[in-house]
Amino acid sequence: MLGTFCFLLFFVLLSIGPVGISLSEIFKLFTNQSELSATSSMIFWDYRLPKVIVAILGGAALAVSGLLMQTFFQNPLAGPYVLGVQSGAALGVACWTLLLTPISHLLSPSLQSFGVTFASILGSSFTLSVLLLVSFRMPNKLIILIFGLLFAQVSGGIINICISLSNAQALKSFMLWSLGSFQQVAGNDLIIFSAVIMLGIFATVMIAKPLNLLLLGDEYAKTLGLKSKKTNYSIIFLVSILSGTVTAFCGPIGFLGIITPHVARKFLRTNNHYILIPAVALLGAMVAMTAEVFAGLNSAIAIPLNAILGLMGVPFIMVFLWRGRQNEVVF
Amino acid sequence: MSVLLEVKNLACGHGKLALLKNLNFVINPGELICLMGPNGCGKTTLLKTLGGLREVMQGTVWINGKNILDYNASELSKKISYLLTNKISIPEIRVLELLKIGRSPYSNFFGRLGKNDVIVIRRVMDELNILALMDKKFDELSDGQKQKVLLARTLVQDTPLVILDEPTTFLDISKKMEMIKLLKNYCHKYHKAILFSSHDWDLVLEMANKMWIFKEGEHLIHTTPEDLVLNEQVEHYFGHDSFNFSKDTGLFNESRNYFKKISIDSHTHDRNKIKWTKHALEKKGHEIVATGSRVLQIFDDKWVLENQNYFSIEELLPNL
Repeated sequence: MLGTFCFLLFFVLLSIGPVGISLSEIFKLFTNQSELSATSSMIFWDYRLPKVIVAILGGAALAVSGLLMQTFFQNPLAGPYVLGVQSGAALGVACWTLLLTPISHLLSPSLQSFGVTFASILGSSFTLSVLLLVSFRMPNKLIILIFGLLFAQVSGGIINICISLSNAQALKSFMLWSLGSFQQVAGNDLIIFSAVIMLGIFATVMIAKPLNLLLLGDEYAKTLGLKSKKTNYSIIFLVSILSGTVTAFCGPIGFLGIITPHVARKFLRTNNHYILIPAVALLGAMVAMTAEVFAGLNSAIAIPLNAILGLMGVPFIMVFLWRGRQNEVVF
Repeated sequence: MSVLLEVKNLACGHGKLALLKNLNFVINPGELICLMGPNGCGKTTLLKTLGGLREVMQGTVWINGKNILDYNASELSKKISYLLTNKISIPEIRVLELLKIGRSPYSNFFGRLGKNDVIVIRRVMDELNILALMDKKFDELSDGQKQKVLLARTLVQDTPLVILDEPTTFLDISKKMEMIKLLKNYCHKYHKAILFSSHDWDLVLEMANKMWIFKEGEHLIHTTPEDLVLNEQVEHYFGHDSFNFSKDTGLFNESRNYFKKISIDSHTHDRNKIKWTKHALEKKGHEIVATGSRVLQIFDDKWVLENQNYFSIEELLPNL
């Protein structure tokens, strides 16, 4: 059912935008019998389709990294932002857009566009390296979590300093990035983006068995044969890659990562990661696409993605959790 | 009989601080061994060191003749299983799913269990009488039920050595007895060795064939509960000023302070009636003497004190 819904969303999303393309035309495009004008065809292949692919993969990646975090920290409130990966990326982007803009006209245009992505990846991989170093020394996961949060605070502080030092135009471009968007990835970027995320999700499925063991906590997992160091590094690495890539290309997209694992567990009544990982990925893709549909409904103004996710998602989740809680009391 | 686990000159502890030193012992298949000692003496640390959860600081642990350091995690998981005191809280998990995770040393790369694994899980659930809990959420069980499910999780791992850290916490007296019976049977039937730690003297007396005691400043003492009683060492290890140890029952009694004297004149052959009447009197601070100013007469159907009839101890007590 979820699959069908996803499929429908996929096509709806393809057709919605400032230039409408009807569903029947989309089918014809896919079957190579297009009678579409050159403009529409270009819009479809160069903008619309990439946007949908990015939404699907980005949503899936964030949801899967949320699931990884929750299992790793055994904490239902953990999400991709907790490790500070998103903050690290934001720091990189802030430094780039806010501080380098005065001299950016010296750089070639292609380097300029690549700059944001590059700065973001640099920022998140810096956070990743710090965290890996910490986790080498500190077996205690709570400390890693606290380091992540502290790191986020420090990044926030530096970002604020950057903001106060920068001009209005640079500020606007940073704000736009921080609002989140699936529409900024195209061409070669799209290929890299898709490859990294698909590999990341595939690798996550490969460690599903260790993840299942981790549900019982570190010590029990060890007694069941878990190689805990190796697993811990894999998890931190995968989260950084997945959420770091999404943040780099699409901006810091909140909320999706924390909540999708809860919904999946509730619906499927299981904690088995072999089932949860694909389910959470699908759910994440669905939520991301739904958010994009809402963002594109009014073609006159582009509503920021993070605003939509918050406005649309939070009430839904509140109702969902509230009703779930009541059922538990009855039984 | 081949030795299951052998420890020579072992030291273990937290970080760089050794809590226990110079430990030497063996565990054979089919043995039920209890580890006792005061809080904080390092029982849990020792238990965890045996299964590779803590570093061996000094000395060697052999399992089936092979050094524990030469085992990898998955081989070890088929030799030793644990019931720890760690809390487990997994949102939405059902009992059956939890047990399946417990069986995962035998699952393939995709986490799939074979037919035999399902049979083992069912058998353990049946033996522990928890088949009815199969589809319940673990988080919603009572503490006693949780403890049973966690024990089942340990037993489905089906290892020759089972290590239980305080398995009877959270259990009431009848559940404790049930667990004792169950573990004894398990040990006997499948010829597994069980090493468990406990603070419960009565439990140990009923259950263990062997016991190891830690007392600060002394080495690990190997003995049996019965030897301890016969050698009058129970008080030495577990005694406290406010309790007396009875060699007759093997149990501890409160030390009694007497305020009054009373003598008993029995006209009944019901020995239990006399015994428990004395028990009640002594508890209330009455010393039983041969001849006293007050005499309690015990008949088959009543108690008589100062020409008053009483038909239960409850009626009698306020008028003593």
